Amino acid sequence: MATKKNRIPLIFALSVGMLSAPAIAADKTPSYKKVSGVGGNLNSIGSDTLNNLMTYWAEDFRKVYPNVKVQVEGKGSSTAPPALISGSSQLGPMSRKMKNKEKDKFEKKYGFKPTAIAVARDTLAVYVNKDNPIKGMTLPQVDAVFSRTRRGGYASDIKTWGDLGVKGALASRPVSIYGRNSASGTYGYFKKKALFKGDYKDSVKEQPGSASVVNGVAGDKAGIGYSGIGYKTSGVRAVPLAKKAGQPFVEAAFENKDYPLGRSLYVYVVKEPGKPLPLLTREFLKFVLSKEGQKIVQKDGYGALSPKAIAKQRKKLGAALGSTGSSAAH
Amino acid sequence: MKESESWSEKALRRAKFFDKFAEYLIKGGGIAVIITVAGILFLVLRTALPLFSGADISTLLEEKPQVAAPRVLAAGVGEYLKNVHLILDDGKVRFLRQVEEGEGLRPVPPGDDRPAFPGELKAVRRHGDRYTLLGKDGSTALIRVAYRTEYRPGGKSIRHPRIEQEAMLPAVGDEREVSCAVRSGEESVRRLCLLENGRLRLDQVAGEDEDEYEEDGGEAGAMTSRLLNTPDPVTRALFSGDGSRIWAADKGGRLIYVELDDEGETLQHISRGTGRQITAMEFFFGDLTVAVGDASGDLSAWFMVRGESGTDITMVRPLLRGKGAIRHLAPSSRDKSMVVADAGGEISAVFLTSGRQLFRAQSGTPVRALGYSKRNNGILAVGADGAIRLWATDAPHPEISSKTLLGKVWYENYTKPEFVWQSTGGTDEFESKLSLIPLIYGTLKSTFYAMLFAVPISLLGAIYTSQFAGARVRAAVKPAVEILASVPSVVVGFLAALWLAPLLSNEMVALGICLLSVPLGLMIFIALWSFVQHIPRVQLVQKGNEFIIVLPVLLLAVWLTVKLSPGLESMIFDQDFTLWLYQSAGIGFDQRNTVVIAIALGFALIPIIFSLAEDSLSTVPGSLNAASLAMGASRWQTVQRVILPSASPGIFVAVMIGLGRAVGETMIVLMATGNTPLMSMNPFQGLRTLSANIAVEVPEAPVDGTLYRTLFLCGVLLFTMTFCVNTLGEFFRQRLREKYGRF
Repeated sequence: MATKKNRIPLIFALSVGMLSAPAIAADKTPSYKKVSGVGGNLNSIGSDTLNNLMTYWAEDFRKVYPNVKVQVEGKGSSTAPPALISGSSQLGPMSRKMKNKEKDKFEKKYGFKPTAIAVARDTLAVYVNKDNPIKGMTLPQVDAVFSRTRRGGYASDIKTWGDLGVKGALASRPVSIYGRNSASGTYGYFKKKALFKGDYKDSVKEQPGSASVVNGVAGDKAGIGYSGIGYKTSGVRAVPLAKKAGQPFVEAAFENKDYPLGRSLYVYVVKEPGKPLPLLTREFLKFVLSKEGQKIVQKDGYGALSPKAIAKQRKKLGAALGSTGSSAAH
Repeated sequence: MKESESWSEKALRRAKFFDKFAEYLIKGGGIAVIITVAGILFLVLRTALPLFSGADISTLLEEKPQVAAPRVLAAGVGEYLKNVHLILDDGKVRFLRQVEEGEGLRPVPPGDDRPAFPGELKAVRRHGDRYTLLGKDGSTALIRVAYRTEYRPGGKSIRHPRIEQEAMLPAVGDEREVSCAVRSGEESVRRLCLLENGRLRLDQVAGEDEDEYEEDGGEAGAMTSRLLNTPDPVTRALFSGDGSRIWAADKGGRLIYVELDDEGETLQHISRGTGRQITAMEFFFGDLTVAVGDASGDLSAWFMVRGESGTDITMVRPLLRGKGAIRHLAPSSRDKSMVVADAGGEISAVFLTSGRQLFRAQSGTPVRALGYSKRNNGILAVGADGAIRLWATDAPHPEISSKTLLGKVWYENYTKPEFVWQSTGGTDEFESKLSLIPLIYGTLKSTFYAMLFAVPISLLGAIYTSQFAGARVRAAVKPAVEILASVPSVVVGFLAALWLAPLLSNEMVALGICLLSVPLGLMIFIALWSFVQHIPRVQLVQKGNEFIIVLPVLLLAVWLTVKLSPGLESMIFDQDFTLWLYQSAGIGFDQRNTVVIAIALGFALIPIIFSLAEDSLSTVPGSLNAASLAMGASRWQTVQRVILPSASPGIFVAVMIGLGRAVGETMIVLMATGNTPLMSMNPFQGLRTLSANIAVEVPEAPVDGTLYRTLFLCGVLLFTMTFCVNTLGEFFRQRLREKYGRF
């Protein structure tokens, strides 16, 4: 009960934050204007994290252009580059940036580098079972739980919940670790940020999707796992994190700038330098980067981009943007 | 008569024709199957085999001297091997470029050398694509050579080089520097200088933090300098890219490792002396491992290893046994390879993880400056004669060797050599760990436990059904079991993961006790049965239907066990079995463990083994059975001595086919385990099999990359394993048939 009481002001602060800050951000973003001549098929293959968002965007985009067909497939960020290279998709949603080898392959095929459009912000949460009383963890502690290399500098391996300062029945129980499979951008991002580029323990149970990580933790009293904040359910609790020992724990939320595990989500496209994107792809991304598109982002539990960031992303879409009457990019 | 003759001839001819036709059809089908299987194996092999192909190097360009060799302090080559830059001793950079294939290197317009530093240079140090220029006056500049791509019509592109200046630091103190390295971080800029007297000096400029730390660090932007406490004169030093770690070598061939924290405090380690003069030192990409080359031409890899009593400087593996002293080292900026030039002008490349020497080439003259392109596709060397030489290189799979696939490897950050499968990292600095041993181990482990579960149940079931049960029971049981085989393995895996695993994690003790209580219940029942079996009413239960009475007894035993197990658990294990297991045996208990796999995979195997074994048991000629019974043998004796030996070839095949299925099964293990590549026989922990590994990792693998080909190698391995099992099965079946199959 004590922990719950402590969290009330925080939750209150968060909900106020959620209502005000991003709402204003989304309001300042220009809304989408329909253009003529848009039709055809659009394929999207890539990130599992972005799967829901892409589907919602596609649905609402089709409300504007009923004769457009959008297919969305999400199996992991690593599936995006091959699909873009083979031409089987026009949009490559990824929850990480492309790696050098992927860029090389892309460049070998097209002769120019791929273009990344940031579309939303995500916050990675470390989840524990809802009954777990832990107050917070530092990043080096997270590293010592998940990693065999402990590059975060924590002195000893963390095996049981007692090692993390948890008291009671849980204290002597070994930590049961859930993670994502290596095809996901989440796996790589967590490795880079929370494991300080170290290696996962062999005992991390690799789950095929973000939801199954959360399910696993919800069904395992000694469980711990990581996934996007959008996947949170009532069976789990997101642990507040601190960058270092001695710093305050920060709740996982987009508004909390000090939360250590925030990242951008991208859609990669094939854009020839000096030429605008094909009309359909461009309009879809313009829709994503509009007031309507960013509202969907918030509704799905992710963070909207700031108007400034949106203007920057819209500039990447190509020169022909001015003709459609957008005010933000020019 | 004649008509009927011709009619029968006709029929005969038709029959012969169909016979021939069927013969060819069957032969053709068989050959087609063999060709298809061989074709698949060929395709898989064709993808996997390039893993073991070597690396290539070929001369691309040899250019006459442009500047006198001593003037060149550093050199680099662009990622398309078209652009070359030379950093000269007058503080300028010369940009050269090859516009058309076959043309020589021409100065990049407007043609003049571009200034990078105000004054003459003494030394240049490189880290990634940044250079630290040390002037003769002791001041330093951190510069970066960058390229802007201009796309021209017709799909052509041209790259324009430029110099970006990132930090300028003034001279400090009276001691003269030999070389300096500047690292620019978020919080501060740090400079490490090796002085002529063999000391190391660290200069630090605090970042412009407005609100805090003003009193203790002096004014923001002011430089603080101090000498590091090194016991012997230092001859070489390396500074990590984040400015937090220093490696140095002293005159006695000892290595020194210094760690700096945020406040610049140091923690120092010194290795034992090698007695050799260290002539070259460089970080591998990622700045964790250091390549150390000495005067005798040996190159070795070193990193810090965390031991029981703190961290130690450790030599991890030898990389090269050369002829001439190692002079220059150029690391790759995308993987763990390193280009090496020795005193004789021989150029080669080594790879850290596999310890492989990738290729070698002769430059003819000693090397003055060495560069490795950002894409690992070319090497640039400026010779002592001033000539510029460019080689194209191609090492597609440098990390693969029989040692990295099958042996224990000491990876960066690890405390000891280990078998590890961890193929993917979040960054390019990641050292991929592709040991197949944990996967083979997992495959064998899951197969072993699944067979342990499935073989007794299905064989005993087959014996009972074919020999003891009544005809009506048999007619119902066999198809029912066979229907089980048609349950898709995804469904089995799904149930195992979401229903069986949580259930078993609570009832593991009950399951263990059931192994005792069920046979015990059966024995008690049999003992009681012998008292009552003469009562006429009981005899109404015909022979072959006893199981109708046994079944409730067994279910009762299971029910009682489940009910009583919590009490027993707290009695035997002090409350909680999993906790007891962890505390007393140090064995972790995973919810997704091998017991779950054994049951789920066993569930998929039982129908196959049962059905084949039952077939072979029930095709034993009835005359044998009758003869045995007529000579006074009991039913059990008949089964044991007559039926089982006759049916043994078939039973053996049943088990072997089950084994083949268990090795190759993917979906069940994929879903019901955590796919944890562990190496322990502990049944309460998970595993990762070859087949599940392929399914998990293929979406991640870039086509034709190392991981992709390694996964195909897993496929070849899997194929070989099932092929061996089946061939072995067939071989023993023939032997058994010769021995027992004469009836």
